[in-house]
Amino acid sequence: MTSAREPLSYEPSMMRRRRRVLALPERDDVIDAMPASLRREVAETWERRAHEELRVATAFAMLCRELLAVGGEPELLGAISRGVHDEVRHAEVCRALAARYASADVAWPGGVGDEPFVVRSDPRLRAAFYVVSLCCVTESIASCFLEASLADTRSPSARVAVGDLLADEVLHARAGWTFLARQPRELQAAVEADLLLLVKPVVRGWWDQGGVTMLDGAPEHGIPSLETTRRSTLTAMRDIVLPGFVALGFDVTPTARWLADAF
Amino acid sequence: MRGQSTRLFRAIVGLGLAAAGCGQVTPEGVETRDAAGSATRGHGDSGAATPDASKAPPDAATPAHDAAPDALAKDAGRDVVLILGFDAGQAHDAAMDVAISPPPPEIK
Repeated sequence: MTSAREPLSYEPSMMRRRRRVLALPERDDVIDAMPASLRREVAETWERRAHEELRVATAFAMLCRELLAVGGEPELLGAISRGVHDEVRHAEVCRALAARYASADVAWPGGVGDEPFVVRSDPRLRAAFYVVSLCCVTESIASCFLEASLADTRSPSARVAVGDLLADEVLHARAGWTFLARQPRELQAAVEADLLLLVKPVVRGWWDQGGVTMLDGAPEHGIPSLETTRRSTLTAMRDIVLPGFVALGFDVTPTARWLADAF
Repeated sequence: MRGQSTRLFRAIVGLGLAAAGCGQVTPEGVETRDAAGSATRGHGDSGAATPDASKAPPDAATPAHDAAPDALAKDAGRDVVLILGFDAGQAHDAAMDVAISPPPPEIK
């Protein structure tokens, strides 16, 4: 029996179109023209990025568990659980691209441990803080970083990969802003009160060198320099994240002041 | 960079708020609405929330392409329609289009 019905409000977050993970072009003259040493470095960087994508998948998985525990709304659960899958797929995208640069098979990245979690005794507050930290802040910065990456990428293979990652990060970030906009003022006030606490570690994480080995990057191959990464971080905070909070009526003065003073 | 980020602001925050029913993306930026439906503020640039630009790296200044046409409002409007049309696959593809399409030669 079939029945016509209005679409559910949360249906978009649960629908997927079947598609290939990554359709790399058959030829890539930009890669073919690279010196072997650079090609090896770029391959290693994309291999490391594959592992980092799994770390983000872990973060989404932990958030998904928290949201399940507090009875999260289906739309958000759909988006966050999809985020787990997206980030695992991103690992494959990065692995496949690494293999293209290496001209050899590249192993699936190894295991990852738990990601740092916001410490709050109230589980609803903890889940909300994590949504804000991971989606509103981290994924917005990631979007800006990837857009800057794409702007300089000339390798057709890398352009396909970076564009794919960017499209997903935009959706992940957007889910956070939708969630936050729907929260009662009391919860928004709690986020506002701890905004700097939430933002600081994320910005520091993007700013720090971390595991980056190619400080000058390989922009033609989707790998920006550390300077571009840092600039993207500040740009994202200035042009996306802080204005987003302002749009919801938050006072972002302490966070804006910290950004101005620290960087 | 700034032009690109403004584009992203619309795609991320603008459409996020629109999905929550408290904002809409317009060619000028993002207009948020309060519970009574009154327009409260517009965004397209960061305004008062901007950290001290003098502390930013030297290359963070507005590049020449900032003046280039930005057709994201049109793209974003299409994205809103697709989201409200309940086709996540298409919404994903629209986001992808935004991500990988070069800027059009001029705003129509």
